[in-house]
Amino acid sequence: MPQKPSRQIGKLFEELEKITSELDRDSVDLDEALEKFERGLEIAAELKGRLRDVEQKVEKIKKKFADESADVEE
Amino acid sequence: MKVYSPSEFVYAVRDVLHEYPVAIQGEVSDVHTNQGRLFFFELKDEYSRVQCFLLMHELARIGVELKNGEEIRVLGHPSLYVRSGGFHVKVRDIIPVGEGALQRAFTALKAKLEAEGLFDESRKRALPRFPATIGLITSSDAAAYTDVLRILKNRYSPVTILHYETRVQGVEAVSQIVEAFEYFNAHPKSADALILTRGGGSLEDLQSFNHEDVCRAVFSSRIPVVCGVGHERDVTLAELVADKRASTPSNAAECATPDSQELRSAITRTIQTISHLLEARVSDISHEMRHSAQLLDDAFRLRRERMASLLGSFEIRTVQLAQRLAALQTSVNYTAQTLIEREGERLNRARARLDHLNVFVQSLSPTQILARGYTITRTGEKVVYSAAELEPGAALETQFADGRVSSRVEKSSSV
Repeated sequence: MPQKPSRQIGKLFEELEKITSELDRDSVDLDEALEKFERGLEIAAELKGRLRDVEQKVEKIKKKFADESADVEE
Repeated sequence: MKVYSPSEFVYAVRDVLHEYPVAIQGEVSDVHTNQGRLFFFELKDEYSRVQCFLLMHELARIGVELKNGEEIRVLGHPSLYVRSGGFHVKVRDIIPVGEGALQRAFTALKAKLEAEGLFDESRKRALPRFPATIGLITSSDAAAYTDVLRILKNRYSPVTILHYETRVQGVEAVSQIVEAFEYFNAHPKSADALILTRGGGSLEDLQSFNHEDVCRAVFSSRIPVVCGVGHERDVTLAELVADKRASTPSNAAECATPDSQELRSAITRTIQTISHLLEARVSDISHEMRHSAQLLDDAFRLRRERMASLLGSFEIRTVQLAQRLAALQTSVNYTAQTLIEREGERLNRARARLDHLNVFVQSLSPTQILARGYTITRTGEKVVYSAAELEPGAALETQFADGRVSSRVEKSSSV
C-alpha cells in the first residue's frame, strides 16, 4: 500500500525541523550546511504542494464487523 | 388451530415478546427486593402500571439508585414469568430522566469515575501532530457532523476521515458508540485519532455521552480520543475522560488537526530561519577569513617594518663607517707622510755615516796600507808574521803596492 500523503507530511515536517536544529549547531561545515539548506528548500516546496487543497476523503464504515477485509467503503 | 399446554403457551408468547425491545418512561413505585437477588418495581402513569424486573447485580452494574416517585426510562423487553405467566418488562438499562434525577445520576457517576482515575490528566495522551486518518464517531444527521467535516476540509484537507455512523441519543446510542470504539480499536492502524462528538442539548439529550459504558470505552481506547459536545457550557463525562476535551464539535476538529495555513506560515518561517542560519554561517566564515588575512597582513607588515628599520640603521652605519674610514685614511696618510719624512732624514743620516765608514774602511784596506809603503811577505802561500818563522835559504815573495819580487833569506836575527 502506498504511504498515505498525510503520513508523509508528518515525516517531511520532522525532517525539516531536524534540518533546522542541525543548522543551528556550529559543528556543521559549510558544504554540509549548504546541502541541508537545499534539502530544506525541497521539503518546503514538497510540503506546500501537499498542503494545497485536496478533495476531502470521507469513508463510511459499514456497521458490524461482518467483512473484516472490506469493512470500509468509499 | 394449535392447542398449547400452559407452559408451551407461556414460552411461545415469551419468545415473541423478546423480539420487541422497548423503552418505557414513567414514575417508579412499589420498589422491593426478593431474597436479596431479585429486584422488582413498577412504572406507572395515571392510567396504568407495568411491572419491571431485573437481577440485583444488574442493578448494581447500571449504577442507578431507584426511589419511589422518581421518573425514569427503562430499556428492556417484555416477558412472562414462566411459573406465574405474569407479564413484566425485563430491564436491561435504566436511565434517570427529569433534571433532578439526571443531575444526581451525573454527579454520582462523575464522582465514581473520578475516584477510579478516569479523568486523571496524567494518563491523557497527546494527539498526533499530523494525523493521516481520523475516526469520526457521530451521527451524520447531526449538525456536529457537517461542522467537523467543514472544519477538517478548510483546515487540513490531506486527512482521511473514517466515519462510523452512530446514533448520539436515544435507545441505541450507547451501544453503537461503544461498538464504534471497539471497531476502531480492533483496527488500530485505521485511525490515528478519534473524534467523538454531537451537538449540545439538555442533560437528557446528552445522556449517552454521560453513560458509564461510553466513558469506559473512551477510557480504554488505545487510539487517542478528542471529545467535543455542542455548546461550550455543556460538559459531559465522556469529554472529561477523553484525552482532549474540545469546546465544540468544530473545536474537536481543530484539536485533532494542524492548520494548513499555519503550517504554510511555519514552513516559510522555517525556511527564513535556515536561510538566516546559513547566512550567519557564511558571514562567520568570511569574517574568519578576513581576520586571518588581517593577521597575515599584520605579520608581514611587522616584518617589513623591521626590515625597513634594519635597512635604515644599516645605511646610517654605512655612512658612519665611511666617515670613519675617511678619517682613518687621512690619519694614515698623515702618519705615512710623517714616517716618510722621518725615514728620509734617517736615511740621509745613515748615508752620511756610511760614507764616513766607507772612508774609514777604505783606510783599513791592505792595498791602501801597501800604498803607504808597507809590504806583505809570504813564503809559499803563507803570510809571514815573524822573522823566527824563516830559515836562511827560504824562498820569499814580497808584495808591493804596484807589484811583487822574489828573494832568498840570507840570514836572520831577532830585534
